[in-house]
Amino acid sequence: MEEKTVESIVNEGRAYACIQCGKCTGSCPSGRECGLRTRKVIHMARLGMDIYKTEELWDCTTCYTCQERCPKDVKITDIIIELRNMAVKNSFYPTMAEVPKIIIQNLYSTGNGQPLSPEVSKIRSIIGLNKEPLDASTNKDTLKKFQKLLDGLPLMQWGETQ
Amino acid sequence: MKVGVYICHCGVNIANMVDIPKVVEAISGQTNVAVCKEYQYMCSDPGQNMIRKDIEDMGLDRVVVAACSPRMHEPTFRATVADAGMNPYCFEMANIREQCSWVHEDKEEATQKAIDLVKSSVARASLLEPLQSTEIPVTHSALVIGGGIAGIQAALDIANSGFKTYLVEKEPSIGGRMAQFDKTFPTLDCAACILTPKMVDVARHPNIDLLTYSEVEHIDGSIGNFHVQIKKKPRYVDPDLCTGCGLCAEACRLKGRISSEFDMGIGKRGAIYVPFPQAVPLLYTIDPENCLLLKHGKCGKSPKCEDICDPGAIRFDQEEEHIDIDVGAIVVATGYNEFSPVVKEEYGYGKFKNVMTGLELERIFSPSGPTGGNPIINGTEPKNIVFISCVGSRDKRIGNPYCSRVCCMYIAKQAHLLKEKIPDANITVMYTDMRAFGKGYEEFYERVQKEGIRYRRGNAAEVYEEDDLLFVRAEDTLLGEPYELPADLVVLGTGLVPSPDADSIGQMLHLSRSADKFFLEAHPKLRPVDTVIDGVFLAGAAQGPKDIPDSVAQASGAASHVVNLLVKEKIHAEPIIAEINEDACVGCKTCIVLCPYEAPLYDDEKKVVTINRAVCKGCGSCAAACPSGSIKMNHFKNEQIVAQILEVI
Amino acid sequence: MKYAFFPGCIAKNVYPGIEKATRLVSAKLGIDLVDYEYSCCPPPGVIACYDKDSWLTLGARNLSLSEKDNHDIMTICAGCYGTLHNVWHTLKQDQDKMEFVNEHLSRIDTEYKGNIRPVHFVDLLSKMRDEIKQNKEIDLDFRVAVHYGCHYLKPSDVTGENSEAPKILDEIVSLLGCESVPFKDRLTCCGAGGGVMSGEPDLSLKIIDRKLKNIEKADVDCIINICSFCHMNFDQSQKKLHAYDIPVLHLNQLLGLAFGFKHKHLGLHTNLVSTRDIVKKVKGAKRESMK
Ligand SMILES: Cc1cc2nc3c(=O)[nH]c(=O)nc-3n(C[C@H](O)[C@H](O)[C@H](O)COP(=O)(O)OP(=O)(O)OC[C@H]3O[C@@H](n4cnc5c(N)ncnc54)[C@H](O)[C@@H]3O)c2cc1C
Ligand code: SF4
Ligand code: SF4
Ligand code: SF4
Ligand code: SF4
Repeated sequence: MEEKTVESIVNEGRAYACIQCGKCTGSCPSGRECGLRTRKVIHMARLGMDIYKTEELWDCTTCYTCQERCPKDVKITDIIIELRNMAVKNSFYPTMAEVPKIIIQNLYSTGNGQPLSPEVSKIRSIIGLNKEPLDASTNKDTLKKFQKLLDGLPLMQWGETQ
Repeated sequence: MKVGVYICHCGVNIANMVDIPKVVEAISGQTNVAVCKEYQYMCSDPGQNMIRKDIEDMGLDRVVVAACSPRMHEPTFRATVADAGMNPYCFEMANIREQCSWVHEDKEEATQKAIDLVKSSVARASLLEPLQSTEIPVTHSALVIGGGIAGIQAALDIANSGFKTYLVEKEPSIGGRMAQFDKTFPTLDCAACILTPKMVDVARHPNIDLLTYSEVEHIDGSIGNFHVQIKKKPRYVDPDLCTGCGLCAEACRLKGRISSEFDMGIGKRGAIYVPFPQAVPLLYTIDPENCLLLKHGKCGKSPKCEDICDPGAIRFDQEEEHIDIDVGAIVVATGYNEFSPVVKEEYGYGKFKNVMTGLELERIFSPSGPTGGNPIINGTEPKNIVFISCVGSRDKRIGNPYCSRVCCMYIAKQAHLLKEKIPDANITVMYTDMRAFGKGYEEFYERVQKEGIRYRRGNAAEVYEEDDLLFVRAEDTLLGEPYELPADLVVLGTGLVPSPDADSIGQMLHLSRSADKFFLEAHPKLRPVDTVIDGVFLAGAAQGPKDIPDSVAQASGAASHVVNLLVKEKIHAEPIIAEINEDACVGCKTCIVLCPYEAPLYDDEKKVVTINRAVCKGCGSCAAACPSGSIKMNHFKNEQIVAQILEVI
Repeated sequence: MKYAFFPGCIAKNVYPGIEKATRLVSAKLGIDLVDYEYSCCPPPGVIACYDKDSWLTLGARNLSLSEKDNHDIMTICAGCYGTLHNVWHTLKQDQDKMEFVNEHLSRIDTEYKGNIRPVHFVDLLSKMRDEIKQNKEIDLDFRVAVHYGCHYLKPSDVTGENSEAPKILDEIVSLLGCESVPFKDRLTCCGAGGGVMSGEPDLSLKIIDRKLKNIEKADVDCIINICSFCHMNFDQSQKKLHAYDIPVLHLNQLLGLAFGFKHKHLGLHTNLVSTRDIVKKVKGAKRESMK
């Protein structure tokens, strides 16, 4: 697979076609509360500016409303996700990056981003479920294999560079 | 056999990528080649003269020009050689621009390809046969389909030149969309004042045969000689007796109960009606879908319309009529429809009653409209009004990628009219880009801005309702701030889509459509009123979104092309058509199925196919498919094509 | 009817009542659920935004598990659905990515072929309207605010849903006797996704605060969702904001109540926002229907 660049992201996501109508920003549930201007993200990306270095990029909830409504069929949310990937690859971690790191750690050690706590385990048995659900962490061998898979994935490399 | 070969530089278009002297060198001395020359612009006067002179001096009997696509200049050079006495069908063109210099980046390879292409054309030219075009007489009358402003203008122009013109309109009255408007941008003149006189002229014109409430059912034939079948729907009213007094409409049991198409469903009419008071012809029409008598066989004790009509014009037994006419040329002016915004669900059209379309608002302005011209929307006068631009235009997601060209301006017009009627209204236009490109348009835009209409860049994202009030969300892209505005009226600047009839008319006439689904002109710049079908012309919004000035200009253009044709007594028929060897034909009818133009006809007696020379367009489908090999395409015979191919492989 | 059951982290490990409700309701409707050793979907917000290719690979691992038994995979969370469905859709179209994914999966002797389809439980329900009516024991008669969850609806060219005017959830709650009450911005995001809930909690709270305000105005008995992640956000945020008191139920819990299961078996009592009033109403309705 070819290495992504801002240019390739712009082309794949059709950002070049944007007419700056602002329908995306107007639709954005997040932009109403913060500095995210979706339209500007798209414009900056196609101008080749370092949009992936901005914090606003991480304000998007990936709700896809903008992409859904864009009259020019710009794949806005997909572009935002790709730009975040690029930020991570280039070690531009947002301030919010700490939390995802915990989630990645949980994923590695339990197979779940959200692990089971002793309290919930108790609730499970009270309501008639098995104390621990069957999943990737049930079986030691399965978990090992899962970790082996993760070890070789780019995700873990980015985690380490920080 | 003496072939003259001419290589064109096309300025630098070809010369930059193709080494022309090298091509000349390679071609000179080839079998049959008597002379090979190069020139800057072969299509220029000196270029053409060079060919003419060589034909005369050297007695050339074949000419090859290596230049651009034959689409543009094949006719030019055919005329050139014919001028010098050579048979025009012995001319051949090699395309070394679009198919060579423009698409390659390696000069050496491009040069080699150019040489191959020219050689291949020489080989084909050597096998070309002289063809004679036949002469066919021209029927001196025209058909105009669609009675909007474009159709009206075209019909008047043709008729004024002295030719019989049939104007077919499917609605009960002519006038089209323009008749629905009160004022027109950018001059704000009253639409009726400038349109009605033209409509009346049409009705009175001795050369115009006006067929309203009628549809074209079938068309065959070709340039100069079209045969058209028209269906005249029954109005259930005798046109000779109806005085247009309107007493019947007043009396109708369903008066005010049926939604009026002309009023975009806002106003109401009865089952017998005229769409609007200035209708032409001013004849009442009974709508059979709703009329109690026609639908249920019974209208109270007796039909009230019939009772009240003194002249006795009501005719429930009227039947549809089929009229056959012959014409030499056809103008298609079927216009447009407004984009239906129900699919843009985020704007809530159809869900919130105070969201309306541009065309609906036009009817509110009209003095003869549902509110008598008063700005009353669902019972109240709006105070906070938002216009949304580009609804259904410039929108790839719904498949309308084009700009509709009129909505920026009609929004400006409507904003102005509302402000005039409701001076204290807050009016905001949410727009993507402002397109005010016509004469006087930018000035009109400024005038409207001065009147206090707020233009905010950035299109609306969505409309929602809260406590019976609408809110429009958008980003002001110049401020870079999302905002919301309350509104008691939201007007959608809906775009233009082709008339739904474009499908059937297009099929009948074998017209092509462009990607936007409007009718395709023969050349986007140089032949904007012609179609690829000879004798068929386009006018108005049927060809693409257009304002009134452009529609009228194009209509006059189309009319002049029609007149150019009709003044001729005879025209030349293209000899590049299919020829059938009736002795070899096995009567399998494969060609009949394939031909898009209905040219092959089955002869029941002889049990073979014959080809109607007047209709065949020379597309070659039949010749390629004929299992017995009985069909040959003039000018594209197998040996000619094979010789051409052998040179390039 | 057999489906591989993908409960997802939240329904397993935070709101097990949702998992339980799904098992009870499925059994009633004749849907056999098969469990596999799934990992987290993994979440689109965090993992896809960090590294999309890793996300595809981990998602494909989950999909591959029931592939050998040829069971389609059923989710009960718009987030899990968004991930699995999107992974399925992407890999179906993108040969390069498919190769990447299988190269990595081969390291653990696994292969993903693309033979099974991810579905959301709601899609099954939409085809079982008669069964739902037959199994309904109590007419619930609640006023409810439905929440679809962004990733169930969008992007519509992947999901095939009508993202501006979806109906299925409204229709299902009405089958149970509930009224889906319209409210302002009913389709907007709850603010949890994209890593925003964990990464920028203040922003996330602002988004859901607006949403809750609109729901409160509509005066409903509860919020009904089809996304465990939204569920968690709706329930927890009311506590974090120290405001509102609107019970939050997953659709499957609502179905459970209508089918006559006890609220405790459905884990309603484990919510942060009390479901007391709901339970009371159910008891009333039950008495009604016994008469
Ligand atoms: C809301 C709105 C406001 C506008 N305001 C202005 C303005 O102020 N100034 C301006 O310059 N332009 C304005 N325009 C543009 C204007 O309407 C068009 O330029 C003009 O109507 C085009 O004329 P036409 O004859 O090509 O098409 P139409 O007006 O659409 O006429 C086509 C006619 O053909 C008929 N027809 C269709 N199919 C058939 C068939 N199969 N057989 C027979 N008849 C058929 C139709 O019934 C109709 O009568 C506006 C447009 C809109 C939508
Ligand atoms: S909605 Fe699409 S076209 Fe409009 S500004 Fe946003 S990305 Fe550009
Ligand atoms: S996907 Fe992101 S940018 Fe687009 S509307 Fe949703 S939150 Fe805003
Ligand atoms: S004319 Fe104006 S409103 Fe209409 S599509 Fe073009 S830009 Fe949009
Ligand atoms: S060449 Fe054949 S297929 Fe083509 S128009 Fe003529 S008869 Fe029809």
